[in-house]
Amino acid sequence: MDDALVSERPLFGRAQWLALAGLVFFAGIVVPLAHVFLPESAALRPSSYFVTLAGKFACYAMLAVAMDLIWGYAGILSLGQSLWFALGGYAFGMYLMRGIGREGQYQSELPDFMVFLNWKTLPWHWWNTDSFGWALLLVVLLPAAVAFVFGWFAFRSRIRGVYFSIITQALTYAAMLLFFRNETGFGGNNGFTDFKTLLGFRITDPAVRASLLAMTVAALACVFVGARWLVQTRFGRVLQAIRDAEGRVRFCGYDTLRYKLLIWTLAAVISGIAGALYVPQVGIINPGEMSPANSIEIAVWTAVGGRATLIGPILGAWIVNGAKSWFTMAFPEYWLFFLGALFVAVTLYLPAGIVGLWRGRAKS
Amino acid sequence: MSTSASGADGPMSAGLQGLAAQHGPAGGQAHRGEASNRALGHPGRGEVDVSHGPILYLEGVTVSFDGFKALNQLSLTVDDGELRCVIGPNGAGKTTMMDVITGKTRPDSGSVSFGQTIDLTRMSEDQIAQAGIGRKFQRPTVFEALTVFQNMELAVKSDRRPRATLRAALDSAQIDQIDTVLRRVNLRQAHRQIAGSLSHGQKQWLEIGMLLVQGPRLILLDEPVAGMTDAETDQTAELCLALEGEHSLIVVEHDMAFVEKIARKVTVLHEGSVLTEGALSLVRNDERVIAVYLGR
Repeated sequence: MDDALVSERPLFGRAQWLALAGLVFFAGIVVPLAHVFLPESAALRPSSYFVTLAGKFACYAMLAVAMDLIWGYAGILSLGQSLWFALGGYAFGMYLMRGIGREGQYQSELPDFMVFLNWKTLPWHWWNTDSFGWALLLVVLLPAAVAFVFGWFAFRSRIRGVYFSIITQALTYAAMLLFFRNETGFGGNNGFTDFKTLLGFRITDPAVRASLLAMTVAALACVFVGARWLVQTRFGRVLQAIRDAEGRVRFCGYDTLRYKLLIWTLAAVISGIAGALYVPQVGIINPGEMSPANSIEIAVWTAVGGRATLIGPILGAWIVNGAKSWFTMAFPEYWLFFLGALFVAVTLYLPAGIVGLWRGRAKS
Repeated sequence: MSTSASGADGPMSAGLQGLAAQHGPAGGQAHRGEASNRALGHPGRGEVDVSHGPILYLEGVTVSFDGFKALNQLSLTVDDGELRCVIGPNGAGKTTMMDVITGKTRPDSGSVSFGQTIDLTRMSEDQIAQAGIGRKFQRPTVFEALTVFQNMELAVKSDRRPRATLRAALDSAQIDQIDTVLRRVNLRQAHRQIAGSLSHGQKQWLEIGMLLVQGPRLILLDEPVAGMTDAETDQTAELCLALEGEHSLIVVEHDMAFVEKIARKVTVLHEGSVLTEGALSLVRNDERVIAVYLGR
């Protein structure tokens, strides 16, 4: 019997590495190449609809991993996660809006909505937004900065549990109202859309669409492997300890504020990157992305898939979104009721989610 | 160390002494074998200065919650290496006193200092823990989702900053230390078990084990034998005695049979201040103590 206290465990088993590599190869290389190089008429050519859908689902999966890091591992239930997603999306959306150039309805250097509002110059927060590098910087820094400041005040005041969740919900709602206003300078309720170019390429070009999918899949793979690594470090175990008994962690000598703030900010950055990849593929970002219901959906994916498993929330995101596509076509009025019922049912009967169910089966 | 041998013979006591010797505070930063060395030695930066004898001073500490004075001008000193029992009826302020010492509650007035120099009223819980005060909660609190070993890993003395924990691996001295403590708290076999699946008594032991690898100078035990079997209670008493001299201990306990086993000096709290202090036999026969306990 192996009785050693410390045993090295690899990040993934051989089969898991193979499965991961296979998925990345298929979704990130085969599908994009087939989309670009197979003739339109070929039966096996992935349609633009399919490529965009795959990209969207990869973005959702990144959101789910971020949610799992803060909720599943650190026990912080954020119901404002879509805010970071939208901030990343808006940050990159500004660059895409500038990329329209004079091709807009009003043939102005300014984005159409500004012309419509009779603005003559770009507002200050649009400074340098025609720079791709600046856009990338904003995508990371904007969610990070807002999340850091909010988290610092919330965690320092030791706001926890349901109170914290409600405040995050209020935060994203407030941001949504702010972005709905035309004066805020983000296109009001229409948001940003009608993008034309990305880095000088036509955004509707199949090669651009395929490259975006490839990058999104690569980003998801990095986020997933990185998160897996993170939760296997002692840092990850401190997070789980905070989830289970924060007071005890403090009396062990850990400054839990720093740990929570770090993972909270990291999750916001991952969500922001997901949002930035989402916008050029879907072609629109508007304040509706910040709606409280969207944030709750992210929590539902995570709960359905199985908290603190990383793979579970990804599956949850895909399953729930698959169900949503069908449901919103069949019974559009009842989707939110169904979502709520699903959340309650999973919490009551499947506390460990789908992955928990599967692991339970495997054991017995 | 002589005190620990007197009461307990047999293999267990020898083991416990070994434990105490190995797990002096500060994880080998300094030799703490003899109390006299400590008293004479010059405390370094961040070290606890016990040159005057006491390791903990509470002076005129008052804590009130909505007008109710949980602690009322409480003054108390505990000597370095001492094992002090604190008893008192419900609501006497025992747990509040622990909260004040460990930074969970800020006193309204009064001073609390660790050794001569460290002002505990200005420090957060984690800073106090790092300075060398360990606390065991009333209800056993362990990290339920982690294994027994992982619980110990998080507790063992190490760099507590987030960046350090990202690349932290235990060195062999730390692993040996965990190994020894796990054997003493009878959890060596269970090291891979999820802590949440342990029995109540085992959780108590795990928490005590975590405290020991944390390497504190002062250990606060809030009702350490609550929910333990008689055999476990006896083992805990032996452990407390073995730790005396190496660590300073404050034990809050309701179980008088347990207090009898370990008591040296006993402090009786009543309505937030010290009613009396002294040997258990004296305290027991004190008219005021009898009155307080029996409600006369």
